[in-house]
This record gives sequence, structure tokens and C-alpha cells, in this order.
Amino acid sequence: MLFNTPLFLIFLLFTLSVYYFLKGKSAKIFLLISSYVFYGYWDYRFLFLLVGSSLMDYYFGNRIFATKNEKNKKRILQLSLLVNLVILGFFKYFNFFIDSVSALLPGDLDYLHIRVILPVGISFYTFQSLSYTFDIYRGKLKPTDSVLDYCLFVGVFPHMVSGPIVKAKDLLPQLRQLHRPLKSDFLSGFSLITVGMFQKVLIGDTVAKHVDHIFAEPSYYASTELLFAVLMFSIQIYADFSGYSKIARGSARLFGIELINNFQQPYFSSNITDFWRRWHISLSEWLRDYVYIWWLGGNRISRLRTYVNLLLTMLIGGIWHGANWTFVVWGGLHGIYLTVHKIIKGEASIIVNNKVDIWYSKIPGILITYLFVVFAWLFFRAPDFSTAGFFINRILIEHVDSQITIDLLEILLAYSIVTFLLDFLEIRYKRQDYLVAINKNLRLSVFVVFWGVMLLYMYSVGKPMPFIYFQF
Amino acid sequence: MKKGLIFLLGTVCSLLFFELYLRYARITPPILKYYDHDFGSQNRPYIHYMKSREGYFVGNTNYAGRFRENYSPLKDSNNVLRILLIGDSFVEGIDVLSVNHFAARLESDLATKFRRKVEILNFGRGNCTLYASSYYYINYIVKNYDADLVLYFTEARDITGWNDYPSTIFSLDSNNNLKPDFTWKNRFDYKIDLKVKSFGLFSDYEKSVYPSLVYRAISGIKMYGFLPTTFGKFAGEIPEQDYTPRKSEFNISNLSEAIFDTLPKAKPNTKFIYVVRNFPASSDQLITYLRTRKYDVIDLTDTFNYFYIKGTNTNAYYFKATNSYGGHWNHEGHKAVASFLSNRIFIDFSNYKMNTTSDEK
Repeated sequence: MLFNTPLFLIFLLFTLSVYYFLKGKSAKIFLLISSYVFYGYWDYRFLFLLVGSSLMDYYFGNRIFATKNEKNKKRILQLSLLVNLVILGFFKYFNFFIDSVSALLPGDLDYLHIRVILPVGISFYTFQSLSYTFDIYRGKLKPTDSVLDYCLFVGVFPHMVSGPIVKAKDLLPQLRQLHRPLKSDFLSGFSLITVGMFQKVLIGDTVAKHVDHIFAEPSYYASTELLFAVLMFSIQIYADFSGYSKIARGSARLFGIELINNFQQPYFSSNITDFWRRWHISLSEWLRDYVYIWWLGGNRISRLRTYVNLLLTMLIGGIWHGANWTFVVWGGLHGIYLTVHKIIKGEASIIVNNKVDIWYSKIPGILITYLFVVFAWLFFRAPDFSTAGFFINRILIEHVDSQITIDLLEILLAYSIVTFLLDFLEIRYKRQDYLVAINKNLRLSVFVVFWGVMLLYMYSVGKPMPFIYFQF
Repeated sequence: MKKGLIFLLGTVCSLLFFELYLRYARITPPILKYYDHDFGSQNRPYIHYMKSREGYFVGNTNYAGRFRENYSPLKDSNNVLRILLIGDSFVEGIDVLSVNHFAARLESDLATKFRRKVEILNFGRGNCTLYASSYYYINYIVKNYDADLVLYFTEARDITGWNDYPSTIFSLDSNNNLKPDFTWKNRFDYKIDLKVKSFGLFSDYEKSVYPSLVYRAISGIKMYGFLPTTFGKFAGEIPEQDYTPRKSEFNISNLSEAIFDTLPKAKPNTKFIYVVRNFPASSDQLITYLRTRKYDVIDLTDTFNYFYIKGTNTNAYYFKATNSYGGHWNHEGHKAVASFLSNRIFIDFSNYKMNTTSDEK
């Protein structure tokens, strides 16, 4: 079930109405069943994997905790990791692996391809489950004694499909003592859903119409049109994913559950390290805690090893996104950006000691960071390297004039202003549910007009667009 | 009182915000159509538009309400070869950028071949069949535009009297002569439109994006259904349409015959060619019929060899179907049409004497 459909609104209203009158275990059971209905609406077969994966990690968590011998503990953890990665690898990377091997070896290996649908959200709930066993192994978490709580931790509907990737230590305590939502939760949750819907449906989905067509057949478009498509994609992916995260947070809040904030005005980042503190925060933190620091050693070994670790972490982040070498390059580019920034920052801190903190002094940094991020987005969005190469060549080298530059500028400006405005409001009110902070009657008028426009738009397009991150 | 004022102010500001955003981001352009008291439904001039149902178009309508640049009514030189295109959405080509439209390609191809300036004036308009376009052609285009050649695109649906366009069309009087038919003025939406406009405040209501938003939502519900859209899973499925019966139904009416006979004579000293656009059934019969009546015909069906199979449109010249009549020409389709027409026109026109400009007439 997609968030950006009238059905989800009906589902949310119904689930909430029933949930509000339930208490304790019955509330949890109802929430879990509702979550599974939400997930199974795509394909009921995915449910077996989700439930199986949840039960398995619940078992592994308990076993790790119960085992006193460090060696055995490690073996169970390795087994848990192996099983999770095999499942993820099978569904997500098997065909990619065959294609990659096939490109290197003589002969056609196409017959080895398997026909399998990628279960929605598998990367997200696998990472979430792994965080549970990892934290138990590291002694930072006690396993939950309730299988119901654990299944809810993995499968509660607002975040199961595309995150935020919540750590067990943050979510399990909330699920253990689920409370009836307060009036302020309703208002705040509804405000988040409203802003998230606006970002997703009226920014992300509408930008996609430009981006998808131009990326599908770039050879028919002029240089400025291709540049427009790349810039628009930077708006699309932000609006789409940030919108999703807000709807997820808002929906969770309606049930009294607090999810991590996944985005913090990332295009206002003044450097690339700052960008990764603001973009897909839950994934960045997961990779930082479990891959960069715990597995690879972070910056504790040597300076060179620190740079290698950064690069490796971002490559893993890239491949996590999708089974395509373009994602690896995207991750690699960010790894290089982070490494270079770390080097420059290290050198600069030796030379310059005084820290300038005037807002406009950050503008050059913001613009440069944005340009580098946009360049990397090209590889993220392009279906293959030849398409990415074509874009680069036509934008930078072979100039083809466009007849619609003014129109495109106008469109880009309209989207940029609105995207900027939403971020500005978050900064101004220091919260994502800023509609809560405005006058009650003003807020009511915004809700009425917004939802009127939203529903009219939803029915005019007929078919909702899935979230970009659903494919991951 | 204060609460009410704040609510009112918030509503006005929110409406204004969405008005500007939806308009300038081209999410919901204002309603394209308006009622001209003489010709009926027309496209409004100078509308910023974006369309991406099948392909991708960004641009504006010109002063004639067509999705291309402005055309000068008169030729500026005898040395210019001027071609008028009349037809429906295929000719309008709103799902490709102007530069990729067959008219642009044809213009440059012919200019190279003839070594002279070629001007192509595209009067194509979505849904505008022979019935819907003939009155406008004779009473507006013919009277206002110079031309050396008219390419009038037609297809098999035209002979069946298919027309759901609220415009002035022709009907037959008792002597079987064509006469204008203004029955569209009885339409409910036209009357409502007049009524709404009679209130001073709403005289320009259609310039706002909100009527368009409502109209699109109603169209969306009609096209996809309320329940499928609400429940998500089944929206967007286009029902299969079987075209085979059409073939056996080929039966040209007196009205169609009168229109087919009148159009080529409407603009004297101008070469007139019927271009039969490919359509699954009856195209061959239409071509035979037109040739029997000694009209110049260009047969595009040979160029395309197209299979109208919904959802599995494997033909490289078409966008994937998004309505019950199949997809429109894609970029390759436009290339193919341009190339085919260019060769054919070059052969036909090699010895043709150009029309003089209107001034010299």
C-alpha cells in the first residue's frame, strides 16, 4: 500500500480509530496485524519473508545474549549475518552478480537468471534486524522477551518499507510501553503527513514527469534540457524521500511512536561531511556505527586506513541502494568526496584557526557541495554508464541548443523556491511539524486548502507513483 | 470575528500559493479550451503548458491556440514554400517537443531539398476529427493563411461521423449542401460557462488553475474509475478495444462525402492532399474511396505497418498506449513521418509553381 493514495488515508483512519480504543497487548496485536495487511497489500507472499526474517533474528538475538562463550557468540552472530545477507543477496543481487560475472567471462550466463520479484523494503528491514543482533552482541542491548514487540519493531507499518532505519535501542522501549496517542501527537502527526504528502505528491511526483521522460530518451533532448533533468532529479529524490520520511514519522506519531528524523535540510550543507549528517540520517548513522567504526575500525588505525574505510563504507552504502554498478559509482564518488574533504579539512585546521560562522560565508560551500552532490546524482539516476556519459558529454562538451530554456528555467525556479521555502520553514520553526506552531485558524485554512488540492490532484492522475526508495 | 478573518486570510493565501505554484511549475495549467462564439471549442492562446502522458512536451500555445510558435498569416516572399497541416493530436504532436515534431524535421528536410525557405504551419489539434475541423478550416484557416500545399490528415474514424468535440461543424441542408451547425451552443457546459462569466468577479475564471484541477479530477475519475483510483491497485488499466468490426462497418455518409468533396476546393490555387493516417481498420477502404474520387492521397499506413495491440505495443514508432485509441507517434514515428512526407512532397512539388503572396494577389 502506498502512502500517497486515498486508500492509505482510509487505512490510516480506520487503523487509528480502532487502535485508539485498544490497550496493552491487544493494541500491539492489532497494530501488527494492520502492519502486515499494509505490507501484504503489495503481495501477500512477501509476508512470509518478513515474518520468517523477524522470527529468525529474534531467535538469534536471544541465542547471542544467552551464550557466554565469546567464540560461540561470534559464530551465532556470523550465522545471523550470513543468513540475512544470503536472503538479501538472493532477492536483490543474484541477477546482478550473474550479469557482472557474465560480462567478465566468455559465454552467455543468462540462463542462470532467476525470475524473482524484489520484496518491498527488504534492504530496510534487513538492516534494521541486523542492528538488533549487532547491538546485543556488542553488549549495548538486551534482547526483548516479547516476540510480539520484536515483530512490531521490524514490521510496524510506518517505517518498514523505506525506513527510517530505526535502531532497536530507540524503538523497542517505545513498543514495550505503547501509549495511547495524545492530542498533541495527533496534531503533530497530521502536520507531518500534510507536509510529507505535499513534498511527495505535489513536488516529487510532478518533477518525476520531467525527469523520467528525459532520462528515458536523452538523445532527443538538448544540453540545457539534460542539465534541467539532472537538477530536477536532485529536487525529486529529496522531495520523494523526505516526503516519505515525514509521512512515516507523522503516521508513527499518530500511534504514539517516535521515529528518527531522516532529513535535515541536506541541500543547505556547507560541505560533504555535513551533507551526510543531514541526508538519509538513519542510513548514515547505521553505516557509521556498524560498518565504518565497528567493522572497519573508523579512524583508530591510521590516516590512510581512515580514508580507505570511508571509501569502503560509501561503496557499501552505494551497493545497498541497488543492484547496479551505477550505484557503486555513486557511493564511490561520495567516498572520494568525503576523503578529499577530510584531507582538506585536516590541512585547513592547521592553517586557519579562527572559525567564521556568519551565514553568508557558508553560501559558496553550500553551492559547491550541491554541485558535487548533483554530479553524483547523475550516476544514481542513470540506468547505465552510457546514459550518464551521454549526459556529461552533451551538457559539457557537445552543445545542443534548446528552444524551451525559458520555460525550463521557470519550472525549475518554481520547484526550487517551494523546496527552499519548506526547508526554510523547518529552520525558522526548528521543527518539521511547523504547522503546529502557527495560529490555529490559519492552520485549519492551510489544511482545508491543501487536502482539497491534494485529493483533486490524486484523482486527476489516477495512478500513484511509487516512492523511489521502495526499489531499494 | 478575528478567528474568521484569520481563517479567511489563510484560505486566500493558501489558494494563491497553490495557484502560483501549480501554474508556474506547469503541474496544472489552466483549462486549455474555451468557447469561441463562432467556432465553438478552441484552444486558448498563450497558455504555458506541459504534457507528459505518453511523451514529453513543454511549451506554449501560440495566438491561434496551437502548440507551436506563432505563424504569420501571409508569406513574406514568393520563394517560400508554405505548407498547412490540419489534423488531430497526431499532427498536433503535443507529446514531443517542437524540435522533434515531424513538422520541424520536414521543414528542414524540404528546405535542403528545395533550396528555399519552407514554412510549415501546424493546425493540428487533439480530438479534432474531419467533422470538428472542417468548418474552422474553411472559415478561418483558408481565409487567413497563405499556403502552397495543404496536408489534411484524416483517418478511418472520420467516416463514421465520430465527433465528441463541441465545435461548429457542418450538417446537410435539404439540398444536401453543407451548412453550419451550432448545436454545441445547447451544451450544458457552454451555458454554465456563459452564466459564470456573466458574474463580473468570475469573468476570467478559466484562467485560474482551480477549474482545471476540478476538470482533470473529473476526467481522471471517468478514465480510471473512482474505486480503482481510491484502492490503488487497478488504476491505469486501459480497456482493450476491438477494432475489427469497424472494417465491416465502412459506410460513408452523405455528410462525410460532402465534406471530403468540399475541402480540396476550399482554397483555390493550392495543392491539397489527404494524408490517411494509419488506423487499424478501414484505412485501406478510406484510401480506395478517396482515390476513386480522384483526390491526392498520401498513405501513411504503408510507412507504419502498425499493430494495434494494447499494452504490448511493440511498434517502434509509437508511445505506449495511454488511452483506448492507442499511443501517439513517438520520436521515431515523427522521424519516419517526416522522412516519408519529405520524399513524397519533393516528388510532387518539383515542378509545382509556387503561389504568389497575398499582397501580390
